Amino acid sequence: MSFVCLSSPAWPTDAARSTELARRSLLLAPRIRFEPARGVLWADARGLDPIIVAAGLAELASALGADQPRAGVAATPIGALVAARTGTEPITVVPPGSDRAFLAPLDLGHLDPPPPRYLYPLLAGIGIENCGDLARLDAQSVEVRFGAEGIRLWQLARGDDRRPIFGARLRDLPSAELEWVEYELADQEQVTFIVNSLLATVTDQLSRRREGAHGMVLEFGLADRSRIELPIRASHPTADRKIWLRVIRVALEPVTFSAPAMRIGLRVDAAAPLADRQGDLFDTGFSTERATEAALAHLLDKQADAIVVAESSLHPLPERRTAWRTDTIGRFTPRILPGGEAVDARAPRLGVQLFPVPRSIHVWSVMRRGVPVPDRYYDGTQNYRLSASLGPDRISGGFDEAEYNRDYFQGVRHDGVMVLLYRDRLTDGWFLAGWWD
Amino acid sequence: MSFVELRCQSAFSFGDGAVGPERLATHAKALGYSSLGLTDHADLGGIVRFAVTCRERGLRPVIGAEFLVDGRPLALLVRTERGFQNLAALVTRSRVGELRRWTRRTSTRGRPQLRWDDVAERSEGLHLLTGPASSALCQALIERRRDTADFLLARYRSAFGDRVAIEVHLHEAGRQEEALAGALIALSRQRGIPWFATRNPRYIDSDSRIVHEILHALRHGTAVADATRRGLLHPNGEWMLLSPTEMAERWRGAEAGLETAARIADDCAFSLRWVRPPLPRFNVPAGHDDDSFIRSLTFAGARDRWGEPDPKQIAQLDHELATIARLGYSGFFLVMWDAVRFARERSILAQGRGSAANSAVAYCLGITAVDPVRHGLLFERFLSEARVEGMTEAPDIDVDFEHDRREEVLDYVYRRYQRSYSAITGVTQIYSACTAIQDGMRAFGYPAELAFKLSKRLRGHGCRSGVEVLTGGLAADQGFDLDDPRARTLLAAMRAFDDLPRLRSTHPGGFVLSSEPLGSYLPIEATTMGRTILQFDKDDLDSLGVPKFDFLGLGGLALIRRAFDAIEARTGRQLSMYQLPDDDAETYRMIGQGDTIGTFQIESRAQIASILHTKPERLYDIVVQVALIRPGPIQAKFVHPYTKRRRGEETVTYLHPDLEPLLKRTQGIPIFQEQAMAIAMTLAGYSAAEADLLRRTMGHQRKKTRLLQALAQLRERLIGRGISEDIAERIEEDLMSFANYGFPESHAWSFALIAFATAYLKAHYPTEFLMGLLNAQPMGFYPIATLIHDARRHGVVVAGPCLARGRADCTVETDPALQLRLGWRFVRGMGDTALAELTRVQALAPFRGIEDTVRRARIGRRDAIALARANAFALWEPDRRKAAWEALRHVGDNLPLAPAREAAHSPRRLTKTEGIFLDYFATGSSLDGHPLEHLRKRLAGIGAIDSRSLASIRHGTEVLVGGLVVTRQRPESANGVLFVLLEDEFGFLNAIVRREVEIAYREVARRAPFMLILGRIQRDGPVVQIVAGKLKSIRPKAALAFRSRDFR
Repeated sequence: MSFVCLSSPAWPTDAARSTELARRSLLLAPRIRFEPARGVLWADARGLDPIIVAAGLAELASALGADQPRAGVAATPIGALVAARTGTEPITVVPPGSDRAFLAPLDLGHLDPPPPRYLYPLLAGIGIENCGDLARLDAQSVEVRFGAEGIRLWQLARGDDRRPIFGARLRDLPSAELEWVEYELADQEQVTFIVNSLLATVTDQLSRRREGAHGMVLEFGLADRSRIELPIRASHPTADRKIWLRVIRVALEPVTFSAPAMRIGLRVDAAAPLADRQGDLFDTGFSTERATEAALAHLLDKQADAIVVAESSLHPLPERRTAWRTDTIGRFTPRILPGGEAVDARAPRLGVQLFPVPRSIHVWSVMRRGVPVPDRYYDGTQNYRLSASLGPDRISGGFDEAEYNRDYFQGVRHDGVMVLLYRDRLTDGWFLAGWWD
Repeated sequence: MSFVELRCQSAFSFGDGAVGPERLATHAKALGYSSLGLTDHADLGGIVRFAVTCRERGLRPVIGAEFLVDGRPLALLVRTERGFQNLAALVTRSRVGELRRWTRRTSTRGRPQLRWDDVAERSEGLHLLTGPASSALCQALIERRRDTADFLLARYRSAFGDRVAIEVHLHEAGRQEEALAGALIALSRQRGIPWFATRNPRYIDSDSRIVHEILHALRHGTAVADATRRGLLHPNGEWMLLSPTEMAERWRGAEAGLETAARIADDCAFSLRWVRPPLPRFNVPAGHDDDSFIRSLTFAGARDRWGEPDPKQIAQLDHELATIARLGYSGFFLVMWDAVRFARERSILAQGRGSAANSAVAYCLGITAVDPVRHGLLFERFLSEARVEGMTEAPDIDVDFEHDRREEVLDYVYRRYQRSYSAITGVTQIYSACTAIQDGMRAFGYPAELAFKLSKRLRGHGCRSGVEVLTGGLAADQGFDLDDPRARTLLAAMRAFDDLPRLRSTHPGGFVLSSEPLGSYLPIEATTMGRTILQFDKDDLDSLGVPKFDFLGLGGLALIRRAFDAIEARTGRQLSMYQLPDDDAETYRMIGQGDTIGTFQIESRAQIASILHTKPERLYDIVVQVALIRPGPIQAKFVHPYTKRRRGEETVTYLHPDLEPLLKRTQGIPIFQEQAMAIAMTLAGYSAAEADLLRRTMGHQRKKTRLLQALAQLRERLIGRGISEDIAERIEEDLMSFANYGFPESHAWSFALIAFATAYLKAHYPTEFLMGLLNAQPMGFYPIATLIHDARRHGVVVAGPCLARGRADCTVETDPALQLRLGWRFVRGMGDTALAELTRVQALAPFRGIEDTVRRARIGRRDAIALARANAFALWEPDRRKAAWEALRHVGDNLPLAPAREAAHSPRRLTKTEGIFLDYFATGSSLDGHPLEHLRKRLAGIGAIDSRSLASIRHGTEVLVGGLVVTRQRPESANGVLFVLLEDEFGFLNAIVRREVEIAYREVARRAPFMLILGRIQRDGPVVQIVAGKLKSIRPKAALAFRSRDFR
């Protein structure tokens, strides 16, 4: 049993408690994954006592404000997830090998991800009422009637769930595969011949990337629609085809197929740079550009949504024109600039600098067309006379969150500094918003 | 300083204006304007109501529109009648392009666009305004292309001469706007073209500004917050209509712009008469004009109808023909005659309804089916020469056609009169609480489920009353927090949505035709269905006095036609609607027992309750019955006196001896509008035209003030003619009933003929009747499950949909016995394409099995499962789950050379209850039982009785009943009482839920599908009802796919 899933209808949503939950969870299990949007927290309990991990996580989650956390422990992610969501006890354990039986009486809606909407009426129409009904069908019948989505659901209903919960493979690692329908392959030498050919492709790709593989996975699709995955590890990262072929031969020896092979695939599931060793990123003389790059890629792989990018908008309030949003891993988007504004490169341009918080000032104004226009101001330290005040630029709105109604003025101080002031028309107060430099 | 705002935009700029034209004009008057301009985006839909309100408020309207010309906006204002025609033609052109080449397939919808050549060609009588900051002129200045600016001005002047003005906006929106304003004014001085100031207002206060932001954001397909970030919204609230004084303050030192605006307004003119298109001319044979041709047709028809007409009939025809000719409506009648003739040629049932049935000419032309001479119907109720504000009221001929064949008639009219000369009336949909909260919540980013939940519960409320309902507890009940700023803003917006046009849709069948290109009077636009509609709605056309030709679809006629055809196919007997024996005892016996479910017009619970008392015995009783159960007579409390008098329990008396001949046929009670007119003519000495003026004040609550004035006048006239004050007052009180909706007798006659025909069919040919009724769905008062249960209780054998024997529509089968076979189109989820393909393939050869059906008709998974669920494969595989298993195999197994192997599948058999519930889901009804059956044991356990027991229970006894809610009805005439019709496995239960009970059990009363009622029996002769005291929802084993039909 390796998967522990903790489910709660209400997790703490504030950043502080979420961070704390993640930090303290890592003391209980080496790898965790927190998905508050789906209401679950995963822990990798391989090699640990999953009951202890589950109990610890439940206690921790309760302490941090999660509402009625329930834990599920199972050999498959779907088993653990459904156990956590449907269990009535604090911890529900699905014994190894009984995931399918555990899921059988449950409604298909308990599966995660649930069946697509269009599949429900089809499944109900043929009398599929629970996971057991679906699991009893044979793969071909399901595929013919419900297509690829049906097969995915069928696998889940059978407790066959191989999704990578902890750390999806984010980099595109080398792989190769061969599929055939005209003949069946049963002889091991023939299999080895094809594997060797695939290996040549994969190691070539690795060499071009100047990487070595830590591990590979050999996949066989058999004529009875079953599938075999064979993880293979090397002692050190290498792209040497001979070394890998030797390791693969050894790994293949004890394997027997229930049906002839119709497809063979080989993919690298862990790779590292061949020449460079990663030290401290900031230790000059030790790190190389490539190593730094590799380290950053590694960090990206591990850190999930940790990248923020600045996004500019055309919000009428200056202080709200730039917002930070998290970016998804690996997709660096260029900075979004307000659209359509032609910039005259020849014209000198000043940048407006905004105070983090506008400063309250005292303003002496004069009336212009019924609107008070600033003439001089006092910022708490000094009096400034304005030789020119352009405006007002009236900004109002925000009725649905925080209403604002301001008259902005661009003032030129007697010392030549251009300042941005505004009058808050809701409170009749004056503020210094920033200056140009 | 005089100033006129020339560039207001109303909600008819759909998405870029947030105030109705009426409110805009009223507000402008309050601000001190003497004239106001309206320039919506390529839309003149608001001008009639704007001009009418301006007239009422003493404001001078300036009419115009803004267009995108070569992709950039500019505005045009109307100076002359020719100018208006040019403007309307440009709006039409921008919306539909060239109508002469227009087809449904080539039609496009999208942003209305014009080319400069179009504008230049139609510049006469118009004034050009250069447009806002996004205009071509402003863009040229912003981009420092002075030569382009000069070229544009020269181009404008070449087409419009000195009728060009540069518009200058100032909204305190920044340096660029100020600089642009300065540049425009400088350009104006340099080129000697006047400039004028405008704010181009879209709203009038802060609440309507919120509405503008909502509409604007939705128009861009996003939420307000996002639209703010993307700079799509105005930065401030300065696009608001300011008073002339405020404008003078803002433009101090640059008053020339204000003066120019006023001068342009003075130069502009507008009259509603300009909007009225010439009537259509009919293409008459050589040697005839419209008048002579209609005369010859009428008298030929008269001989068909009456044989040789007698002097009375001839006199009536002469009188009518003379009036029609004087008013210029001969062509109008001929168009109607032509449409009906076309329908008859195609064997489409057609029958005129409404006040047209008062016309002997319409009767002789075959447009209507009621003989007004024989029944003494008053022609002036239909067409009168009386003028209001200088205009006669347009005649209103509504003709019903079989609803599923009406399209053929519409296509014929389009073909016959051409697209350029014909269009369907538009309908301006107004915001209700339901739509306002949906749009508001969508724009403010609320979850769609919450919006939908609240919206459903606000159905039937206006925006303002919706806000009251929300704050009065609904929001709290549904977990909608009203305390945050977003919710408060939403409520403010909802109030401002009140009476605001939301979108324009198509009238059910009101055509407007003209002898001139229609788009030059009434702008035309295209619909998504490929029709061309006017930008004006029915009320606008009424205000203008534009007659419309109503080609309406009526399910009742479709029912009759289908039933007649089926009867002829089975028995060889050819029935005709107007030759049915209108004294048929069996039909009246059935009606008298209240057994009228499914019949036309006399099937509602209120009608049945009334019929049980009045026991109609002849056709005229049905005429009265059709008119009696209407808001007017009900609120006037005429129903009980009429019923008592009809039963002989009360003596028929008359307020005045002269009323006897007028009211004798309705037991001394004025039920029809014609009777009100006759009273005015007989007792008060009104002329027919004066009586028609009185009639025009009737029929709607909004005319109530006018009706009160007219009735006060009538009372004076009555007293003046020697009738005692007391009697005059009582007559006035009686006629007050017409403040609410009441029927003209002619209309009631038309409907009664159809009602009788459907009742006759139900009494004598129930299977064919049910077939016609189901195939004519949607129509009527009851869900199809109720119609089927009712028919089966009356011995009709009904079989489910079947691919081996059935058709897309319901059919009547005679082998092995007479039975109705439900059509495939009643299978929920069946797409039109699949139905058409099934029909096409079946016509080639009957289906031989599941595989044959799936393969030949190329059925998809969704349709296959729908058919299997409805047991349509039953002949080949009785277990519908196994049938689905097989059908899906054949759908998915599209590799015939490598077929998927057959695999056994043994699903659990459905229980009876599951089968019934699945039937409801699959076909909307069940032939195996009623969904309440499975609850019967539970209900009996708590002492609930069934509908059979009600007959024997005494008045006042407390009972507990449960049932499936079939209909809910809250007529406005019932003072908030909710009428609920429950159905159980044996029949119906009528319940009355008073306001206080409904409030106490609001959610159950309004939404529960199964309801348990503790109440007392109320017995009134044969009518038994339960007056509810407590309500409770009954939870069935599974959710039932059934929705009650709820009416107001």
